[in-house]
Amino acid sequence: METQNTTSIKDNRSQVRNLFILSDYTTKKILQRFNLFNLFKIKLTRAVEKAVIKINITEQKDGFNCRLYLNKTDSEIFRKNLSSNSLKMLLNSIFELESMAVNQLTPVEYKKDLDIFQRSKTEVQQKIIKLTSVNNGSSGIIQKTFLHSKIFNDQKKTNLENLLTAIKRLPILKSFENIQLIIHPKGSSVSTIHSYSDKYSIEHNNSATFNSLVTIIRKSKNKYFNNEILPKGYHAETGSFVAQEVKLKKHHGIIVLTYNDFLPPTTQEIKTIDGLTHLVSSLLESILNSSTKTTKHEIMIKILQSAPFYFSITDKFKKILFENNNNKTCSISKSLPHHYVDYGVPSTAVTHNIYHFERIKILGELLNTLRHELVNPLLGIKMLSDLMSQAMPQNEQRQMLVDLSLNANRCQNIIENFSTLYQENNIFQKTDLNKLIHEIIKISKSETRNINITVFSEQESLPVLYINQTWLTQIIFNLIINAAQSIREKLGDDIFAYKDSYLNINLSTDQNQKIIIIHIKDSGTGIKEKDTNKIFAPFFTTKKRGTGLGLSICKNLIKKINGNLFAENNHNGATFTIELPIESDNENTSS
Amino acid sequence: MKILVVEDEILIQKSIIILLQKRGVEAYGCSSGKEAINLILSNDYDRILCDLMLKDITGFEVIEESKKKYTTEKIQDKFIIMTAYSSDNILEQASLYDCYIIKKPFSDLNQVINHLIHGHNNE
Repeated sequence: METQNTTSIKDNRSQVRNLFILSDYTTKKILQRFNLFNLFKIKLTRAVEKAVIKINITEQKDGFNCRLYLNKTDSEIFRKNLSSNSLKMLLNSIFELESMAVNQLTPVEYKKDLDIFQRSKTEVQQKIIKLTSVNNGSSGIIQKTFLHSKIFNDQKKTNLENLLTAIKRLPILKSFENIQLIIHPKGSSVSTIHSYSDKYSIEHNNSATFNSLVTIIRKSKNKYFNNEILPKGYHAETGSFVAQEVKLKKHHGIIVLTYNDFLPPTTQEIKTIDGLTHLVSSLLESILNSSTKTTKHEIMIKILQSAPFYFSITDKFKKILFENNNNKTCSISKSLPHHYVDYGVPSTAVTHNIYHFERIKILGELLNTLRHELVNPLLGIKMLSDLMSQAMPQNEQRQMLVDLSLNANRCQNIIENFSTLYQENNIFQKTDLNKLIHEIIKISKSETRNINITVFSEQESLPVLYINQTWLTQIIFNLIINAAQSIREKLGDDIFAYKDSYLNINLSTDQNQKIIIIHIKDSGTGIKEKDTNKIFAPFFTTKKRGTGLGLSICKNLIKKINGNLFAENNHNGATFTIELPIESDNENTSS
Repeated sequence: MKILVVEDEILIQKSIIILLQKRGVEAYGCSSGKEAINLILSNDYDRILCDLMLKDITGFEVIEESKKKYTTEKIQDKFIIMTAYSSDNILEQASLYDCYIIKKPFSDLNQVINHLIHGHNNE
């Protein structure tokens, strides 16, 4: 073997320290691991077997410049600036390769030039012996136990960060710059990349790139790759990486160890990683499952916190462990199954609200059903009474049949009006405000009986309004009912007192004809000063049987129709003011 | 002219029949879907006014059964669907038959009667 006699040549220039000529075994390995055969389109022929790689190391201010030449062509195949640590690592790797060459071929003698790396010849040889012995048999097991204890020492604070840190700090893996753990929950569209190089970081990626990576890794035999195949978003861009697939119950994982350096990982390192994945998978499984548990726990608390009703969890001594009151933050006990879960126990007022809330919801559905059920018989009554009245001569009976028909029609209208109140549609239609208000007064008749309602329009004709009639109806209806109830509360059962009561609805526009203003003025109890800020809040009520939802719904609806709603006291009762925008591009024709 | 009114609300059924008879139409009524199917299969009606919600079955089923006797075009011409449940779902299903649809409550009874007598083209 002609390259057996490894030599070093001192360059003329002082900063060039040494030039190694490696054995052909090492050369071949380097070529193989670097995938240089492909790069230089060199085929593994006998000629290549005799090829030699020269390594030229030049000392520079901030480190070393390292170049690899292929002696056959003397072409430069690699050039990189390395820190002294990296250079040591590189030479270690080369030594290791050379040591294999030592085993397989004849002994190599290292020149004392190596001393510049603070290693004596004996040191180097010891290292070689150490490395070679690791490769033989039993020491693999030692390595495993070591790994095991190293990782499991930290078991108390097991999370992915700690796990990655522990792995990264393993001396055997110190030549890797970056460790990445890609976790893909089965069935999810997102995978998470946990990286650790000098600090821990998390990124998210879509699972398409994950899947392509898995395919590449599965196909590979030596699990060693060039960084170029890494999909975008993964860490290192140059160098190479070692990857191993980890199969878990609910997740798919890949462990990627990246070299930003130019020498490939040693067989020892690859073996270590192989062992590592087996060791880590059980640990990983428990960490991931506990983290899903934590997420579940967090989500559960969030749901409970945002429940639309009061919710508390107490232990058997009725001590409150959790309640969804925003002012108090209580954490839920982890031993949940041992505790009692109560819905809305604390105060009867709160439970009342819940029931009212439910009732309002049911009311909408009920009205719809009612409408459908009543349409047929009412239509029948109307049609037959119409027919009969036409067949009758002009007399009292005929008039009664006409009234019958009219009343059937009214029933129909009432039920129709009620059910439109609960329609959730967003249609802005041309609206005759005067007519609408009179209709609303009609449907609120049962609540407003005995109360004098007057509608007063400041202008002969109001501008045309384009608005969601259902919502506006609901707002005005609510305000009229409120006003009527307030008057009733003040006057009680004294029917004669009602002749002085009033509920005035005043329609006007602002100066620029941009806004229609509706004042609803009552002679009721008015708003207590302490309540002024609260009246629009949900569940706030001063009525004995109130839901506390009416005004809060009004406030929401007025927002939807771009209007405003205020409340103030007048000298006798309360005045609610609605402001509705007039679309400027619509004609100002009379309604 | 023979018209069948399939409607389980007896007041509506009677009123429509009276009005049709006034116009000189031979009008018949029935309240149940099964009865309607028997009548349709054994008689020849020029037009069938059919409510969707019957006591026993739906109007759609009556139409489906009538397919044994009539082609799709004839069904389209003969049947007029009447419904109080004018939900989008039902209207969509009804439109599959391409029949004329009357929504209850109807404000203009005469229009309904005219439609029954003259058909889709002479509104």
